Amino acid sequence: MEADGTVFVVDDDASVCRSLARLIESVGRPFQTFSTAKEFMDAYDPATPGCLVLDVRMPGISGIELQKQLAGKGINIPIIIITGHGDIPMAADAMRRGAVDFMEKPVSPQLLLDRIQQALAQDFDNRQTKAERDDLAARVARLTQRERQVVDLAITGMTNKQIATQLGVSPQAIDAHRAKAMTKMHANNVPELVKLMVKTGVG
Amino acid sequence: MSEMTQRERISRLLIVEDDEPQLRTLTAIMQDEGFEVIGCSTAAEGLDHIKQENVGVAIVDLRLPDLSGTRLLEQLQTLNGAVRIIINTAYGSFDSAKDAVNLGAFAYVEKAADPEELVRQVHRAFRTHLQHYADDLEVAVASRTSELQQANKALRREITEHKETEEALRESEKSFRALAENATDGILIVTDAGTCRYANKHAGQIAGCAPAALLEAGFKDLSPADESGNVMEVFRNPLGWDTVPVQRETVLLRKDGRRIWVELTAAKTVWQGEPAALVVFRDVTDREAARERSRQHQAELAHVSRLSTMGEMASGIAHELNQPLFTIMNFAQTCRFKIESGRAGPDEILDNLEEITAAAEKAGQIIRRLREFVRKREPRRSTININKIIHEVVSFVESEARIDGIRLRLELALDELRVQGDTVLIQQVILNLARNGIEAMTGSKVDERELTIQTSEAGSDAIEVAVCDTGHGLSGEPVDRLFEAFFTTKPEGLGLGLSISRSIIEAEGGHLVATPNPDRGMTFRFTLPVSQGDQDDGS
Repeated sequence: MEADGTVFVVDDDASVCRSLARLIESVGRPFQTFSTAKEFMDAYDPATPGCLVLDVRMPGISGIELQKQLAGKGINIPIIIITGHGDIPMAADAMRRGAVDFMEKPVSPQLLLDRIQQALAQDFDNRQTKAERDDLAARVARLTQRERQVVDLAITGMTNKQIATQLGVSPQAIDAHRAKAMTKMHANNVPELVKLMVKTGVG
Repeated sequence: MSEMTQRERISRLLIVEDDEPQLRTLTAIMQDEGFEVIGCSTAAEGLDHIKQENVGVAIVDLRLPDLSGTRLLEQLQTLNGAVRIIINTAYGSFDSAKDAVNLGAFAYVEKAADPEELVRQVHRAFRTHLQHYADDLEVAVASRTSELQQANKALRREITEHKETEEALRESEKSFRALAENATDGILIVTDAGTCRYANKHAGQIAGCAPAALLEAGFKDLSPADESGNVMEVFRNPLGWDTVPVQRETVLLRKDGRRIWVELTAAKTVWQGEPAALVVFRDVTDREAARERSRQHQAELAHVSRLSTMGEMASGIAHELNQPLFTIMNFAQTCRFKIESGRAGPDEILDNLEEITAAAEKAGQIIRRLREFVRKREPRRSTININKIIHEVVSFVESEARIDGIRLRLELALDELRVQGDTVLIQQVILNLARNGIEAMTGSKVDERELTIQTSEAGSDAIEVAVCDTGHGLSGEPVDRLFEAFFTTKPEGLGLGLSISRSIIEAEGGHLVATPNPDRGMTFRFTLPVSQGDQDDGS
């Protein structure tokens, strides 16, 4: 599974920026460089797959601040934070907020490339998971209200008869609703349905 | 009193008689008696004689054709009150005799009387005339004597006063000489050519020889030839001096070859009619040495403070060094990939190598700058470009400011501002102020953190540097406490920064002050005197 995302580099030091660009380019990876967090925010399209290499402290919006802003907007781009000097509380904070790694300059270029690779893979996974979840949610959205009621009760392990009793309709009607729901949800049997519904976060 | 001799005054006898035979007879009689006789027949002639000759006694006939006897008497009296007048008339009457006496006639003799009587009266008149004259003379002599006595007295007084003055002068000179001799300062009288005319004891002691040796050698021998600001400069043209005394500190070469610092004052004076300089000087070598020690001490303190500053800045400096190192590693790795892939041409590799060289050069610069800053060194004054120094300071604090998300704003004067001072010390002051500003802003809102450094001209002979932050400002502390040694609000600081900064600026002839900004934060400003010369930039 080869992820071909873009590496976004944000660092206010021009020569560091240039050297990172060359390094990433040398492994044939697409990249974009920015000298401030604001520049990046203005240009970045969340639909573009990729990862972010971020200098932690910069004038104006710092790396940590940018991480917070992205999280606030629900943007889930994997972030590799690099810093000039070890700052344990800040590293811990960054990791808690979901950074892929926190690396201290001078970072080994090979290590950095490995992390970039890892981050891009994570982004790829994230995007795939998100796509699946979106697909499932779309399927659930197609269920009628009655079908949804039947599914919700079915995954708790109730029989058709029990569901019919609880909803006050005939077991035949429940059978029909369940069959339709299974088709809409692309489930072959009840255990499959349960798995799918768990993925959507229900149950 | 007239200058004529006594004999001339008294010897003449005037006879006014209009009857010719009588005049001849009387003249003959009186000449026989030994008188010098002037005879005349009219009143007018008689009056002429009285005016022109010295007449002691006059015999006057009261009946004269041109004037009445009484009128003549009156006029005679008016002309010469000392003349004794004897009225000799044939027509005597009581009234006219009384008139004659009232008018001051000496005697009244009738013509009918015995000529012996007239002769007797003439003798008597001469005697009284003489007597009168003698009285006059006595009075005159007495008056002259008194005048002479007065003059004599005045002269004596003058002589006494002169003597007293002389004595006082001698005393005064003696005491002044004693003062000069025993003064704790060296005192010299030096002529235009540098010859000493007078030297007191102490002058000799300072110069390391007997005062007499100074008189022989002259002052110019004391002045080391290699010193600029030579002592002799003071004496180059004493007549051209202002009335204000010349004052300076200079090096003096003692007779034993030792160089000492002296402070001397030279004032224009006149010595025995010759223009000269009165030079008062004292040995200030100890004071200079103390001053030098204090300069050394300040330099050492400044050094300690710089080391402390660098210690505080260590992480920022490490960060700054890491930037080029990281850059180098990235470019090096890139080269490796390119070579391994076998796709890269030599140009691409060279391009990366150039980047590596540039980054390594930058790292080297950071280290050189650091070493220059923390090196222990002697203070060295030179002409410096203040804007250039500020750019150097900015390169020091850039990374720190960057870490704390602080914008650095420079508002530098367009013209080059050149000042006299020590590059490293001035740099230290600006760095100190900038770092204080940065640290004061760590608690401020991120978008408000701004450090501004301004330079401007302050009048025609000074420049001003202002460092302005938007930090917490003073927390109730009086502004002046900031400049006290060991006053600090930072846990890791020595509390020497501002006190050293102020002493550095004051040693360079400027002032450092702090003022709270109207909205938030503080502004520190200092002035420095503008450089006049055109020396090399020492940095």
